[in-house]
Amino acid sequence: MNQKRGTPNEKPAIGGPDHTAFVSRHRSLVDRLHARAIAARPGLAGRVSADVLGEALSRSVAHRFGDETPTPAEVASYLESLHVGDLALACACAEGHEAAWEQFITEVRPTLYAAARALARHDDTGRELADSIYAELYGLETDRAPGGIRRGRRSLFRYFHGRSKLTTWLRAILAQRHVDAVRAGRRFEPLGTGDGGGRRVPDPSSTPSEPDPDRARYLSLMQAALTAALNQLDDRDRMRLSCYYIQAMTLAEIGRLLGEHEATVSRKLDRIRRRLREAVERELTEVSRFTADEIRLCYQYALEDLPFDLKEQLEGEVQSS
Amino acid sequence: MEDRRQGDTAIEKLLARSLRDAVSTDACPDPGLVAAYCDRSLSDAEAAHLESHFASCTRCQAQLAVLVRSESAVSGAAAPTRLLSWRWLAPLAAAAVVALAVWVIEPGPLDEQAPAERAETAEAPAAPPPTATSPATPVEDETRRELSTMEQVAEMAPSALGAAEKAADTSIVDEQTSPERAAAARDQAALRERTAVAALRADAADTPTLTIPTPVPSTMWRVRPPGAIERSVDAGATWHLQVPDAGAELLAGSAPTDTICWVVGRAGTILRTEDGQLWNRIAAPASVDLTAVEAVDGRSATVTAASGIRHQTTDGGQTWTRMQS
Repeated sequence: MNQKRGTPNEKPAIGGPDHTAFVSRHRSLVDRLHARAIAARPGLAGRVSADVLGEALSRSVAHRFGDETPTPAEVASYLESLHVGDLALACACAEGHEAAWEQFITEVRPTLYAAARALARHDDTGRELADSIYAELYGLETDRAPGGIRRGRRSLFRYFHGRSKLTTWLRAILAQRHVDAVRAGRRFEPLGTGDGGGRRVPDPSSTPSEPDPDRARYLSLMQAALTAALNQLDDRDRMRLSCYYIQAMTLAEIGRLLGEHEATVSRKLDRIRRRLREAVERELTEVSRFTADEIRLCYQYALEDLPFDLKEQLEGEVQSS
Repeated sequence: MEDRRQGDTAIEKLLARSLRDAVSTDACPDPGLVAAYCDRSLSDAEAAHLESHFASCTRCQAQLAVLVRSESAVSGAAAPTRLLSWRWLAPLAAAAVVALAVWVIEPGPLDEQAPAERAETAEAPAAPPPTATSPATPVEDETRRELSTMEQVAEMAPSALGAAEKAADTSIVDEQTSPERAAAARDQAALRERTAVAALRADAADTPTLTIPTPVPSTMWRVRPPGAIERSVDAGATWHLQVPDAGAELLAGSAPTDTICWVVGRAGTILRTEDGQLWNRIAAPASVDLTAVEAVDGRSATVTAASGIRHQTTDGGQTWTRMQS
């Protein structure tokens, strides 16, 4: 399966013989999907033709399958899964139809601005984020000039391929830009706990144990053992851990992301932590030949090294949820 | 129990550091794919492919977190009037009836139990979901393999333990006359027991051992399947078990001196000793099968993956550089 990775900066294919051939080849399917799109958004009737929607469907197929040669059944199955109503709205907006923009402003724009306000600390910042995307959705005036193909920025709507709801796609763009801006500006957002967000320096006066020349080695071995154990986990388990410990997501949020009940997330996190501890202890015992006392010392050094108490935070969260 | 709690807390504190260090080498998916993942519009295979990237990419994880949080914020921005319409409720009621019927006929997997039932089944092993297409997790496979090996050893060990007990009996008699000799006898018994157990394990496997020579002819290492490492200082006449089980099949080794040895194996396994006695695990550049290693000293080595890709370290494995082929 060819997963074409791209950013909103990917250049969309311009309508040409390939898309026309696609529409001809899949005429009945395109017509059926067009009817479904108009049924979902009656306000677009007469404003988005089947051919225009067909071109968007062709671009979506090209984006999904890349250099592969899908069978007709695969193409049909893929197209049936698309949000064609939203795709039709995006097509109509990209073409500059006023009625489509009225629908967008009424139904979709509030979501865009609400999402921007939610992730930005101040209303002004949120509005700026949403305004920048809104401007890109509208595109340059020359994009709508009659005749010829102009170089320059095209409407951001051209990058919507209907694989999700339009509102989710817009929120994903917002999320990507917000995260990239934070990372580029090196600002500390409270994205995680542990030794990331709100970095604290351990108070030297609070270290109770005697200096041990092997302290660094013990911690290094324990870290290496933990890394090895983490590499053995499957992807969803690693996602659960990262979402919880790095991104500071709540159990409910992780559940919504992974399609699980909050209690299921909690139980799985407990199981993963237990397995990690057992794997680390097994590693330290069998490879590094540590005794039980030495393992206890490893844990003690780890607790002293990082004064955060995540367990306390976890217990507090469970009680309040 | 206290030790377990301390261990859990220590693990949690180290988790953030370990997880943050993970790096994905794949390009991040575009917002369209990320949105489709959140809307659950992707096929199982596509979603699994994305999750393998998300698991190691803090950038994408941060985006997902923002997306999930903004979802609850925008749900209030949706047109509220529709919620008051009875017509809107009708299909929802119908869907609820269908869902109830399906649930009654086919109870879901253990994972979907309500919190009230969770307490009763918290200690029971989770059944695999009926729609799962992937095989058992690597951790589960490893656990089952370990149990199988341990069961084998448990069956065979009594003869080895019998020898140790015999030696111990002798040591008790000796203890009445010489404590030092008794302690030495107990140490020898323990060593014989460990060696006997390792030999039993090796005999149970049919694959040949891997010998790792050193510049000193009398000193060498060998790898006993499935993952034991032994050292000899008398040209192979006797062997001393140093690593009973590395947790993975070991495939190659390199010993630039008689006290430094690197061993590599499956799933990114890299072990190293610098004093000829104590071994530690080195973080690999990737969790892939490593089939060859060339070591220069305790800090510099080049490992080769099954794909042919080579990585080099000059700082004892803290950082790795991919080498041009």
